[in-house]
Amino acid sequence: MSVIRLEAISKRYGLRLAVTAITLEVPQATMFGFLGPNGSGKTTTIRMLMGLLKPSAGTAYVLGWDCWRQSERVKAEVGYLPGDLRLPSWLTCREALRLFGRVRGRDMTRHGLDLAGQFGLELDLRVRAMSRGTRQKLGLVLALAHAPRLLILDEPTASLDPLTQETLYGLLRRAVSDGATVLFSSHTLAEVEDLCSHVAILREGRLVANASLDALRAQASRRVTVRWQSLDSANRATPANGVEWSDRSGLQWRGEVRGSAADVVRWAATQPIEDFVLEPPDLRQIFQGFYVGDHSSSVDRAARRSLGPSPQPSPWEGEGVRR
Amino acid sequence: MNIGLIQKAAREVWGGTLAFAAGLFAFELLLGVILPAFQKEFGEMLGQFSFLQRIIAALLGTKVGTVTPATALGLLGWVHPLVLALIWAQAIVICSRFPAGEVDRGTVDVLMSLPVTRTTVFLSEAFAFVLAALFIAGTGLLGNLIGGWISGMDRPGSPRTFAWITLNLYALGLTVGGVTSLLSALCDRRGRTIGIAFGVLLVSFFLSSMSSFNALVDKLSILSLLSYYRPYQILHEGAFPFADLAVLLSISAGTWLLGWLILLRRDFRIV
Repeated sequence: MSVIRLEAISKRYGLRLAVTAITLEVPQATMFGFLGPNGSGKTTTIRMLMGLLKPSAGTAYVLGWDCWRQSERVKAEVGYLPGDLRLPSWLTCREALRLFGRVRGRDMTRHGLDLAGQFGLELDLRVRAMSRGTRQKLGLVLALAHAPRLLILDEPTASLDPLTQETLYGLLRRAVSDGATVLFSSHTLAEVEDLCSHVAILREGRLVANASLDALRAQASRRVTVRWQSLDSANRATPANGVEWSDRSGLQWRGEVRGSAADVVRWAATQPIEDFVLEPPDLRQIFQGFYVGDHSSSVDRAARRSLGPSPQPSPWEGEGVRR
Repeated sequence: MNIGLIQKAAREVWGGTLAFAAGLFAFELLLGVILPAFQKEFGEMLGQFSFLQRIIAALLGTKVGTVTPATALGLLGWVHPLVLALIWAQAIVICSRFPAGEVDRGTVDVLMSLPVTRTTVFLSEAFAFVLAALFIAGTGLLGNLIGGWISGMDRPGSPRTFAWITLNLYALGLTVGGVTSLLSALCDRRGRTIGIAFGVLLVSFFLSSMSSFNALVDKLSILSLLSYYRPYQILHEGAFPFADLAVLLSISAGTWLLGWLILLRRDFRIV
């Protein structure tokens, strides 16, 4: 069952088309990454889901309800954190839980106080005295406290410290394992790679990718780096099947795996090698390929293009397969 | 309506409402206490400056020559610019909060992420305003009555007619609220809403106060909201101001309704 269904949804601001005919389905109990550069239409799409903006064309559904015509039913099942969170300055966490619970017609205090404890929030501190990160924590508590079936989070970790980010990740993973769905907009690709099972990528208001991360990983290339025992051993090396070397000078060779990773590992085991690193599939390169717009025909081509000019960090410092 | 939203609105307007009410009460009380002592000078001044007499007569809702100094003095507390300014300011401050104020300060996202319709939010906000405006008008009446009682001034009318004048003033406040609510539904900026609303009221005040000086302005004064707030007529005729209330409440209902219809269709954009 699809929790979110967008049917050719568009949004026009005067002459400018902010979102163009996006069709998308978000399955239940998934952590769905919503990516794209600034101005790509992520927030506009999210605001149409929340009934804040009326689509110029198409329809958005959440749990089968029309997001514009039945927005109050949609919002009863959704926890929402806006990208630029603003709260009334007089509000405290305790007051907010009581007030929002009264509006929602359910007790949010018990679960809310538990969440506030996990985020280390002061219950009686007014919003006007809170730092940006603390306000963000309060926004998250209010989005999560009614145990929604769908969480729509627009850049939720933007102003959170790493510890709080980990707390949030844990809460989101638990929510998904309990059957909730999370739509997660972010600029932090590593976070999306770590958390999400599916991603949709927007660019200039259009959907340019919609796939599971496993599918993207399968298309992504791996980098391989080899350090030979000596120059002589490098010269005596037998050719490796499925590796395209980009740098074969000296003791250290760099390249990309074009075939099976297992074949490359087997080949390395037979060579006079001092060290060997096989990096995991680099989704960052793929994402960037979509962002800059050279992903028109194939994932692989975009990844290859973006590999060239990027700086090459020492592979010995990264994660990988070592021998 | 939603009790949680009414509580939120009450939490946000009570401070301002209390301040406006205290100001109005103090001013009415002060006028009631000190004006009788100046009745003689006031009468002489009115006789000396005919333009002042004209302005006061116009604001009271009558023609020059029909108002005696005693009546003008007794009704001054109901048409004094400061009193009108306080009533209008309170209406504008409260009714510009939603949606313009919420969009302007960016809190509309959180407010509208709650499972309520736009109509529910609108009605809850309107309800809070209707009560606050009633409180303000009632406080003004109370200050006026207590001031008169302290000074022992002979009132030009019965307490019932003063209650009707208060009702007329309340209807004027509701109308100002309706106009502001309509502007708020059209704007994304609260400052702009407040500016335009004050502009409308300044024009109203100008048309009313200058109507006895110029024939064209007199003709145009039918457009002024103040043309339907006529304390002198209520006092003089001792009759319930059906016609004026009907006009004010019709404008009020029309503007609130139009504001609601626009609210149902509008986008909440990030500003």
